[in-house]
Amino acid sequence: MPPLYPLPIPGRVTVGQTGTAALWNSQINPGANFLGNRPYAWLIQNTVQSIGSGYVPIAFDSGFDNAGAHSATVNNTQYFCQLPGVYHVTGQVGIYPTPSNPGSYPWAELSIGTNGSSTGGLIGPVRMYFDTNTTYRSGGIVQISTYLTMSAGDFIQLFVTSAVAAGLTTGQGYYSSRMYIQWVST
Amino acid sequence: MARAAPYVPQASPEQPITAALWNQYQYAVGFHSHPPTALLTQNTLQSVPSASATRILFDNAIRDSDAGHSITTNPSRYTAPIPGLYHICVFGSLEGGSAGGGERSLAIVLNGGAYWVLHLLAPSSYGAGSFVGSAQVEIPMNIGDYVEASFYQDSGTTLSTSISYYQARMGIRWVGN
Repeated sequence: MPPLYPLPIPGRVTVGQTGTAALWNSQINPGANFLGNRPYAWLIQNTVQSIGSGYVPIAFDSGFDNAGAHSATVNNTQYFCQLPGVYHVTGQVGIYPTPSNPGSYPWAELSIGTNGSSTGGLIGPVRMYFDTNTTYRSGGIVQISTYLTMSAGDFIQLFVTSAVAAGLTTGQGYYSSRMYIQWVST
Repeated sequence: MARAAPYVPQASPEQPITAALWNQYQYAVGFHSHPPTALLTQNTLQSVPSASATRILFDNAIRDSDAGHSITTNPSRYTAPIPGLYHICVFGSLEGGSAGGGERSLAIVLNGGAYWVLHLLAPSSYGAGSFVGSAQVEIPMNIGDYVEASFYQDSGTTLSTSISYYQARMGIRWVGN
C-alpha cells in the first residue's frame, strides 16, 4: 500500500455529531493506516563511481522507494521528500580496493547533505583511512546516520570527499554504496 | 499466537462504525505504541576463525516482545514474527590476533546470505588486528525471514568476540508494514 498524501491528521468532532462512515473514512482510516506505511526507501549503487576532487554526491541506480521520491535515472543522487517531517537517514559507502598510490595520509569521508549543500551544511563526516602499506588493500565500508527535519521538495544526498589524489572509486557487491530513508514523524 | 500487522478498514454507509471496526482501530493504536522489539546480547565469548564468516550467537535477550529469538535454537537469529519493515542495529568487537590479512567486518545478513550492510575496516600496519564495529539498516521482512549479525576476519589466526563493555548487541524494532 503506498503512503497517503497529504499526511492525514484527524479533526475534532462536535458535541452531538454522529459517527458516520464518511467521517471514519476521511479521519480515522487514513491516519491509522498511514502510520504503518510511512515513506520509505532503500537505494543502492550498482555502477562503480569515480570519486574525484571536492564533495562528490553518490549516485543510486537501483533500490525500492514507496513514495516516488527517487529516480534511478534523473538526479539519481537525490531523494526528494514528498512529505514534510523528520526523516531517519542512514548512508553507507564502500571503497574497494585502496588506490594503488594512496599517498602519505589517505582517507575518505562520508557525509549526509540536504538541498545540495556540499560544504557548511553537512551532517558528519565519518572517515575511513587507507593503509599506506599496500599489503593491506581492502579499502573499507563506513556508515553514517542522522535525523533530518525536511520540508516537502527538499532533497537528501550522500557525499564523499577524500584526500586521495586520483584513482578512488566506490565499490560493488558487498561494498556497494547504499542509503536508507524513512519518514518518522511530523 | 503471533500478533497481526495493524490495518484499519473503511466503514460502509450501511454499517457505519461497528464494534469490530472500532476495535481494529484500538488495536492499531496499541500496536504502533508497542511494536515488536528485541534487544539481544552476547554474554559468552565466541571464537571467530580466520577466513570464515561467523554468525554472532546471542545467549541473552534483554527484551523480546514477540518471541522472535531463542537463546537455545538458532541463537544467532531474530525471526520476524510479523511481516513489515524492521530497523536493525548491531554492535560488536573482535579481540586478539595480529594485523594480518586485509579485512575486519561486521555485517547484517538476511536469511543466511543477503548482506544488507557492512562495517568493514582494513587492519592497520600501525596496530593490532582488533576491530570495533557497528551497523544499522531498515529491512522489509516477511514472517519467517530472519536476520543475523556476522563477523569476518582474515588475520590468519582465530580471534574472539568481546564481552562486558564491548559485548555484541543486536536491536530490532518493527517500524512499518
